[in-house]
Amino acid sequence: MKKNEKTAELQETADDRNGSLLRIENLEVEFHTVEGIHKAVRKVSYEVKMGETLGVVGESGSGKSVTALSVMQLIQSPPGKIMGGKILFEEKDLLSLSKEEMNHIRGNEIAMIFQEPMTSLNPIHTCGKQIMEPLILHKGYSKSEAYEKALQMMGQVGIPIPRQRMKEYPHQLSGGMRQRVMIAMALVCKPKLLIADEPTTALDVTIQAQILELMKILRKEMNSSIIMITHDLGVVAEMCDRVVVMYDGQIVEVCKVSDLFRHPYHPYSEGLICSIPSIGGTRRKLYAIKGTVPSPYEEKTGCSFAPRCQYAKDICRRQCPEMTDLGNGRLVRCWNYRETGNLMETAKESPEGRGKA
Amino acid sequence: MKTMEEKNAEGNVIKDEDFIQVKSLKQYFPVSGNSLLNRQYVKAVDDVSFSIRKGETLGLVGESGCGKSTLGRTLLQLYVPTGGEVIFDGQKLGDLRKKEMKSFRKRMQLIFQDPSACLNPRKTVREILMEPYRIHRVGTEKEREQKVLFLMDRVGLESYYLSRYPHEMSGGQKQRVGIARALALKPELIVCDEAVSALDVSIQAQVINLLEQLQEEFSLTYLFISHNLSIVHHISDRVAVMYLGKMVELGSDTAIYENPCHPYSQALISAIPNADCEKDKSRILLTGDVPSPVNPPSGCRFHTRCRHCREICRQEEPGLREIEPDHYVACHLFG
Repeated sequence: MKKNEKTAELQETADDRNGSLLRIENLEVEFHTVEGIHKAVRKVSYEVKMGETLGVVGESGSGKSVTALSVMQLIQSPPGKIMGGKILFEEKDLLSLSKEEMNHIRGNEIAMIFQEPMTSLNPIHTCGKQIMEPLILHKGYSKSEAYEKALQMMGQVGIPIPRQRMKEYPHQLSGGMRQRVMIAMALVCKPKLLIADEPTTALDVTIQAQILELMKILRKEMNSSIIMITHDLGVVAEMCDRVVVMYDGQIVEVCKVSDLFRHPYHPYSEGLICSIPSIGGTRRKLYAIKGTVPSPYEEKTGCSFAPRCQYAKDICRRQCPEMTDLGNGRLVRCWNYRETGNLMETAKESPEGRGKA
Repeated sequence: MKTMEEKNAEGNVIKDEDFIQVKSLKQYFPVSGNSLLNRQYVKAVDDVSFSIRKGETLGLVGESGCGKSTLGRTLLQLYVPTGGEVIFDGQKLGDLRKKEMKSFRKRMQLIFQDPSACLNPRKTVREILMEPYRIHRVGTEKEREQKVLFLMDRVGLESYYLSRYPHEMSGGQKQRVGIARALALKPELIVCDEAVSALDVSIQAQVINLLEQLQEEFSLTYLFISHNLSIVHHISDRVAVMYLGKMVELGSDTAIYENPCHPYSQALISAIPNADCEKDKSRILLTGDVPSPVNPPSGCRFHTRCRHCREICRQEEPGLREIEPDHYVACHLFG
């Protein structure tokens, strides 16, 4: 008995050493608008370990971007407000830092890649200048040192003729190239944590494949942790180690990526997986989660997925389930997690649906 | 000049009985700022020939800027084609006078990508759905009301939405209104231009199922334009791949996805991120970007990014050739 405890303890310390880089605890973010209070993030907790890639999936409005923006403290206030919780980055609470301290971390130790590179690059500065800026600001490089470093970085992210591109403005580049400039900008200070908010959604598939490949290589070289926010489950499968599924401002499931695709426990994750058309295999009728995302302004009793859930029971409508720890790093927020899995089974068994003409 | 052989091949792509025949369609847009003498053109669609059969779904895929949307719109005669012709059910659309074209338009409709941008924000859903009947003078007021109610039912919207304005509805619901409007005049062909791209994953599945169900019910023919390869695979019977204004491959859904032959299609198919963890993830990475359509590369337009590029590819433009029954590829490798 005692020995067991001891090994468990040892395990824990080992985990700690390999431990968390970022820990979000009970984060709550609200937007106070004319139409009412929008609770965008409701008691969200997750952690990112050293060197790990964490996927965050969910529909638009599920709070996945707001959580990430809170980490960077880029929530516009008003109307946004962080109501509670902690964001611990290397055991420092980012929410208690002063503006200057936060400025030192933002772009230096935590960097972010945005979805739309056209709107997040400054149109009136050259690409070179924008990549050099964080180096001069955070690392105290001289201009010429920063120039050399930026040039090298541009080569590293696969921008051809970097010397020429340094002098060009964002509008002169294609979408894929602009996204590479964003990545170069984010990585030039070798951040410990990279937040990528839909980094490939605006790009074509062939360019997406290039960018994902690039991110994999850079992750290996720099050993950074990545938070990958996306709604594309294919990208999650490709890039991530663990995944957090969000719905209506709450986390509904946390697990390893392979577990999510093999056996999702939450009905929403299950619905998501069954509703994407897969390449190869037989064609079936797509499963569609009925209804739409609930209004963010409503006061909810019970589980917010219950109106769309096929497993919903009385208790689901009355009381919101707590996070259940299933061990092995799996968490699920559902009363009926033991019963889910029907959809996956039926999807496998009945390949009919719509016959090919 | 076309060689005899290529002409024959083109004859193969289009069969006389095909519902919609597109022959050497060209759509150029002038690039401003140049004098008439050296005016340059974006060749958005350049000499494309294919056909759509009755009741099928033809998927059209390609990267942004390859001309797939332009092709859809030119096919509906929303642009006046620079060259070539479209034959719709035996009728050359280019020959029609304005009035005749108007009545022909009832038979073809378009569903747009962004449901919020294509619905008039100052009209209620009822007014939006009444408009096609008003323009084409179909039925009395009472009959129109009946028809609108029927449409709402078919696309799965409650009738109380009729008095709502577009901004009061969610993206999925707005797209349903867009679909209902396209269905109003009982068209035979619907061009779906990125019809589900702007929707959330769970809503996407709803709309795709709806489109499939309506196809069966009203025996519709779809041209389904999308950059999302998984969705095209799901919905299409045949698939066409475009690159820089040219059609590079055309074949059945299984042929394109399981045995893509053009090097570009191969790269495109292998680039799809796969949700299946156990699958082999070897992929063909293309280098570089799509070249500018104002000044496309000589010969085969893909040769600048192609792994198998040979001398002939730089000089001569390949035409579509049938390499197996109903599978056409424009590539010198299959010469």
